[in-house]
Amino acid sequence: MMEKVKSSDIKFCRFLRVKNPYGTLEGGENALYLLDDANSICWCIKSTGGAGPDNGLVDPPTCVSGRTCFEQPVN
Amino acid sequence: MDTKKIKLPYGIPGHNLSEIEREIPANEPPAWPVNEDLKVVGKSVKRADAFAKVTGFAKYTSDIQLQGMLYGRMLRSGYPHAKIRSIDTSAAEKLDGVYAVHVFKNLVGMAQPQTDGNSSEYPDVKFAGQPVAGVAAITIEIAEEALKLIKVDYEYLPFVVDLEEAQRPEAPIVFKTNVEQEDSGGGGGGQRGLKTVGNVRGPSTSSFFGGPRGDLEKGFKDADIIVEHTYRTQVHTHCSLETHGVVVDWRPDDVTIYASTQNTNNVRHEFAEMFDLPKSKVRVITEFMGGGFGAKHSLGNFGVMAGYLSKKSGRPVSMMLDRKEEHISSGNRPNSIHYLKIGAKKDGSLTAIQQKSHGTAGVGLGAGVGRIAQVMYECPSFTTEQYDVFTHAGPGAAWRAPGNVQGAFGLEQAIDELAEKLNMDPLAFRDVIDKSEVRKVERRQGAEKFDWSRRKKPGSDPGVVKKGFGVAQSTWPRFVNLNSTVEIRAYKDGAIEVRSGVQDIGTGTKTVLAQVVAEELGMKADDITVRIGDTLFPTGPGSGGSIVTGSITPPARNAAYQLKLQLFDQVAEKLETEPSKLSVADGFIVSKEDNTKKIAIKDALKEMRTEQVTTTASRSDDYGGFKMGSFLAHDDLGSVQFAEVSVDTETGFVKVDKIVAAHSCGRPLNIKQIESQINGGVIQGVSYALYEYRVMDNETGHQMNGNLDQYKLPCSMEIPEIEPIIIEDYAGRSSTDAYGIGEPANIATAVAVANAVYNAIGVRIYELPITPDKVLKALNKT
Repeated sequence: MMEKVKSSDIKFCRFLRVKNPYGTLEGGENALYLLDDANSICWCIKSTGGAGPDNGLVDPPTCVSGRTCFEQPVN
Repeated sequence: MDTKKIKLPYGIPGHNLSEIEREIPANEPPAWPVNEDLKVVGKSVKRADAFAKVTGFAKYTSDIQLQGMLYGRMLRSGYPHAKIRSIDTSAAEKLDGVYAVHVFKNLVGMAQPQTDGNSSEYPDVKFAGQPVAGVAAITIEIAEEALKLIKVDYEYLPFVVDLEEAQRPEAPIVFKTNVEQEDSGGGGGGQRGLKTVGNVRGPSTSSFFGGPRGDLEKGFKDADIIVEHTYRTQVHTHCSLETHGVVVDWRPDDVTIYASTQNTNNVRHEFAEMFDLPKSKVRVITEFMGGGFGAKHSLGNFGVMAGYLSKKSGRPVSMMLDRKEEHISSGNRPNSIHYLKIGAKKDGSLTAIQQKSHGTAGVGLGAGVGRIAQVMYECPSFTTEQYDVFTHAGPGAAWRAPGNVQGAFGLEQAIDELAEKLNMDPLAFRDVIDKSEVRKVERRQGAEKFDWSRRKKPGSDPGVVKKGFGVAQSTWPRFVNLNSTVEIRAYKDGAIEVRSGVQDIGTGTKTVLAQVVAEELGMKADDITVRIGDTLFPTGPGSGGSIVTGSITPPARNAAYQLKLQLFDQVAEKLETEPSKLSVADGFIVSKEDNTKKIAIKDALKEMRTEQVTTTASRSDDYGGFKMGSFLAHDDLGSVQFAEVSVDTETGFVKVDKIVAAHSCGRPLNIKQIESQINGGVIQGVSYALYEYRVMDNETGHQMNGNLDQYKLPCSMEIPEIEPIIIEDYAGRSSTDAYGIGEPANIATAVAVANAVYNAIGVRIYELPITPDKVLKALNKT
């Protein structure tokens, strides 16, 4: 599988998904690589769209601990 | 891991073909020679599912009929921006024939609204067409009647759907933040959060291809010629033959989902996550699929709704979008306003590229212009600033070479213009600035087939209808997904079966898998049965990024190779030789030393100790390593397209007469199928260049042409003559060394047409689609 571009301890919400422009999905059981933030599509599988359960933008930097709709990854 | 060294073909036959030595896993097969010396691979083998498709035997998701199945429809907001005060579904629930009703409620768990604090249990409406509730009934008509009975109390809010209007400070805000959102923390090791002001988020200045380089100011100072323009592209909606849709069959012990998807594995995973089920309880089937251009990777709100409705009703629920829903809500190619400034010296060498773009993916992200300006040509200084602009319009999606088609429209016009200012032929100029060997060959072969010498000075063709000739080129990286596994089963009755979860979205994946396995086993493609598109089988890659062929065919060959070795072990004693002295050819296992010693493979299978033998292989790392991470292979998939157009200078109509499309995809596996994909990419490119255009009503926030009448797609009379050229380009990176062609086939077409239109009329058109009004305006005839 892809290697993370960088490492970090910050965990993303378990419901965040990113489709990068290079054919692979990020988030969930796949790592978040954040290869290209201008050309990637992001969505929340809980709210089923680009707006999260709090009506805010689904965006990797904000779909982290502290956002009220955040849920810990399973692992 | 045990390894061995082998020599593989390297380079382009007829140009620079040689061999390269690579260290590869010890259990993988020896190198195949170039296609000329193969029997099945590289040939125009008939599609494995051709008969099923032309006879109607093939069952697509919309064809699925299950006992007791209900039909689902969704109620969509008619307002582009609103808060929902209440939803009353009681009348709908009482309607005869209705079995389940579900309302989307987004404020789950501890979520607090990021709006004005006026909490509602329902999600804010952010575009006209956003689903609000759903119904499952015994007929579509009853379901639609029930939708009319659902009462929604909306609080209407101001909205903006136009890309430029949305950037104004006073524009209605799509995603509210209390203050300017800046540097929201990055996280996960990814890029840091981008600043958002009003509806504008960005700029994105880097990607995994890198960030800014060189000294832009010095680069432009060093330039003898500078070209500077702003290019505009339109929103392109998702018009695959089959719309998005699923049939969800929720049973007590497990859930089966029939899906029109580009990613069976992801649909399974999303459904399991959404409904808190183990993945083993969710099965996704995509036996036949009617196309997708990137927007069909997720479960989608329709899939979630079908899940709720099936769970509530205890019956299977079919939820297929209609054409209008497909236009307004299923995901589109974002538009762009793209500024480019490029400097060059008199010898042609580029000195600096400055890029800035704004685009809207509606209620989401992803409206950049790709990285083609960053990577295709050598240039010491480069910067990009790519901004997302939020609007109250349907969402964007990953869409066939995301961003790069928009980016190429600017870049390749600018390169054309630079060539003219340098008094150079556009092809000769690209020979100077482009270091790609494969594109060099494509330019040469394409120019010959196209007869580039016909091109005259821009605007010099006499008469009312003027001929024009243009060229453009593109690059697409070779990506692979290592989470790609193939199982091969050999049965005593002689059957060979290939199994993988990978889906065939119409491109011919079944056929190339059969070819690869047949080649390795010395059989015919027809001898191989391919069963794919089912998550009961080993996981396959999603169909995006043109990664499927490069990801799934190497493990298919490797698994076939392991099966072959097992058969050799089994029959060697009978043939009075050593397993290592056996080979396969024409359906037989043959002694290399004495070709009278042989046994039919089908007879060898009869001798198996067990009823079946199974071998499995997963995609290994690229031979020689990756260029980046574990996904980006070395070398690119180059393409060069030539366009011939006729422009009527009185009516403004443009007719594309001919496209010569020269492409590479590593080792071509099936010539006819590759040509077919090139045809599809070119047709879609012509359509993007001249016809397709989402028209939004700024007063209502609705798409005004959400149909296939006013949203124009080309008919047969508007499709040009297409001549594909396929270049073999070996890199020795896997056991098949093959890659996809889906994305590359589409990137260069529209801008090649634009360059040809310029050549015809002598005036550049910087905005897509090139409609008659724009041509006449350019000619000062309006």
